Amino acid sequence: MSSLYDRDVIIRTDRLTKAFGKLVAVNDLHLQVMRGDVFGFLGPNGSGKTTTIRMLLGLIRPTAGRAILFGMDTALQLSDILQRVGAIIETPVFYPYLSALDNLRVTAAASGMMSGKSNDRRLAEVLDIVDLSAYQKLPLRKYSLGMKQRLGIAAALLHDPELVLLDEPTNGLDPAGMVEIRRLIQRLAALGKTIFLSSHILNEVQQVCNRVAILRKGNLIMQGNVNELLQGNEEIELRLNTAEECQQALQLLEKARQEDLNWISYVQQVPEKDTMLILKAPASHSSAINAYLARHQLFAAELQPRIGSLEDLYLELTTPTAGTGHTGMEALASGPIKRVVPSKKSGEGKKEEV
Amino acid sequence: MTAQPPARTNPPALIRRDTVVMGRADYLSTVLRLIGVELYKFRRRPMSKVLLLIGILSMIISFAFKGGPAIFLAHTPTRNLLPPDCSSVETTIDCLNHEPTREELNLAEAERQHRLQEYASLLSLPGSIEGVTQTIQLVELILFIILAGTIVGGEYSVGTVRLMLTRGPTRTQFFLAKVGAILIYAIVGVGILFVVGILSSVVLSMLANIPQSLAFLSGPWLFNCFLYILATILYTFTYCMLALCLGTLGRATTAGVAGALVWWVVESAIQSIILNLPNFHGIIGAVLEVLPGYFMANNLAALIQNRSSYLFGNQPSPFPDLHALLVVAFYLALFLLPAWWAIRRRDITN
Repeated sequence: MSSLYDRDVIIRTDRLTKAFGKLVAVNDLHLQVMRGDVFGFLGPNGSGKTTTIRMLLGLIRPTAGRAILFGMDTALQLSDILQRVGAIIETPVFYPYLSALDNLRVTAAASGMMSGKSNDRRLAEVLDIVDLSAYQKLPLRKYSLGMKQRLGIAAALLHDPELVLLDEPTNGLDPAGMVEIRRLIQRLAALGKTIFLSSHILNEVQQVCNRVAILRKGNLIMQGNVNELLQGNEEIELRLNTAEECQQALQLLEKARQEDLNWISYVQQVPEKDTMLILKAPASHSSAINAYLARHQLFAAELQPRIGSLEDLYLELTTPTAGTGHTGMEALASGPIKRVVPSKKSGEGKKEEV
Repeated sequence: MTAQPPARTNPPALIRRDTVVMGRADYLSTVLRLIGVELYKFRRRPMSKVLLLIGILSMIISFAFKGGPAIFLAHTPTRNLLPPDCSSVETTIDCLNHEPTREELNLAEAERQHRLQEYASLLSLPGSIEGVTQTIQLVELILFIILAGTIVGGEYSVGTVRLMLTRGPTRTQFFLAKVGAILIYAIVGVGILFVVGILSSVVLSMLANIPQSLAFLSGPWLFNCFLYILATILYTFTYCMLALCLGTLGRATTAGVAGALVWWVVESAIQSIILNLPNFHGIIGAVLEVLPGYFMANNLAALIQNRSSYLFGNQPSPFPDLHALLVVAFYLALFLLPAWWAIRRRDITN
């Protein structure tokens, strides 16, 4: 019987599956979150993000597989795990007849903290962090959604957890509030906390997360280091002078992709633009493509590298492609694409073909 | 990936900020701390204060219904208790056509004393104790059911069950804390109502010039009185457990409150129907005859009634204590086990 504990691995799920009757909400999920990660958990509505978070917190029992946090199995040591976790799941819920301070007192006692006034300093600290000190005695029913969201974060941080699970923490916040939460996440990460952030706001995730996983219809379709994923999503736009040259270049580059220029993932003509090609290739290789074409007497009218964004990648992987009903991921499944899985220690990621 | 057999792991202890003061983490301490959380919420909740106020007022009012006429009677001049003067009424039957004689006045006074004596048995100790229990069984029980249904079902209705179950306590600890808190509410609530009821009766007796005597007090009497109060607590607690069970299974306050009240009403309705049915013979007759002996309310009431036979000289219940205790224990298991099982096994979704 080997120990599941690995200091650097905070969350690990093995074949984690949850079915509600015939509906498979989460299917065969393998996740790995490393210590110190700010891990973005992405996916469209109904993709299984919240179900996964609920399984990590023991609110939902997996149908199959298991979730290991801090080396402990949620089925066996949930209490020990929860002592190290602070969480917000969807809209934070509190007792509406209690003030923010009283709600935090109740939450503190439920978290195993000493009851009474022993923890008043800590309560003041977390209220200060989320900027609610001035409203601490206001009954919760008078709080706006944004204030409740901030109080949820305060409650999550109360017992100084190692791992903070945040499910849509910026829901209901105004832009200034979102910036605040983003800064808070960055501050927590700087303190060495591991953050697991589920969000729809991709720009936000790109700015704060070092690693992401993308879920669609309960299936993990991508997981890895943000920079590497975005590198993998870089494109080069190539415009030629005539449609004929464009066809020659397409054939030439397609052949080269399979031989010399194997760092090109694919080449395709832009629909309804007969002089334009799109190459899925690292943006830094633009000059190499230009030189290659020139060697074959083809001269680009325009060559434009495009750095990918998480939004592009997300949409490519989760939005059904027009006409086919498949996502970009499914459409590309026949061609070579890199999926990044984390290496055990560094969390930097290694690539494997899928 | 190969499946490993489940194993418990002991990662290094978490070092927290010095401002975070953790409490004892053993099983019992956690349950006690959660009971403390429940009591804290109760104290801070306006609804609890309203329910307590209604409970106290209804107890005072129930005694005022008995004490009011007694006070009125005690302070009415004796002449007013005589039949009216014939000159002031239209009919001449039952009226007085002469100045009242001393004998008539003495008779009226004796009648007043007789009627005051009837009130005294309700208002003075130990009779007033029985009055307190009757009010608890008939009126206050509804408030206890509302309270129990709310503190359990409310967690699901508002969604705070999510908050509590992601903070570390196990689901069984969460459940035990609810049961423990309800037991404390039942003990304290019944205690407060006994004090309020007895004080009300004492004050009303004084106002009605009814003398109080503590001559009945003795060691065995106090012991039986203690058991009587315990039986009253068990009465309210069992109905609260019914509300807890239904509130948990139905995941809503309404399920707990309405379900328990419906049970309460339906059980007594069924009993009335059975009592009014013509005599059946054979198996049906035998079943109908023994059925009320297994009703929850009858057995809870039997425990109270058996003690009251000692305390107040009433007729004892046809069900002996052991029978009643076993039936009540069965009902408690019937309510607690499915609720515990449901809370342990169910998925907490929205």
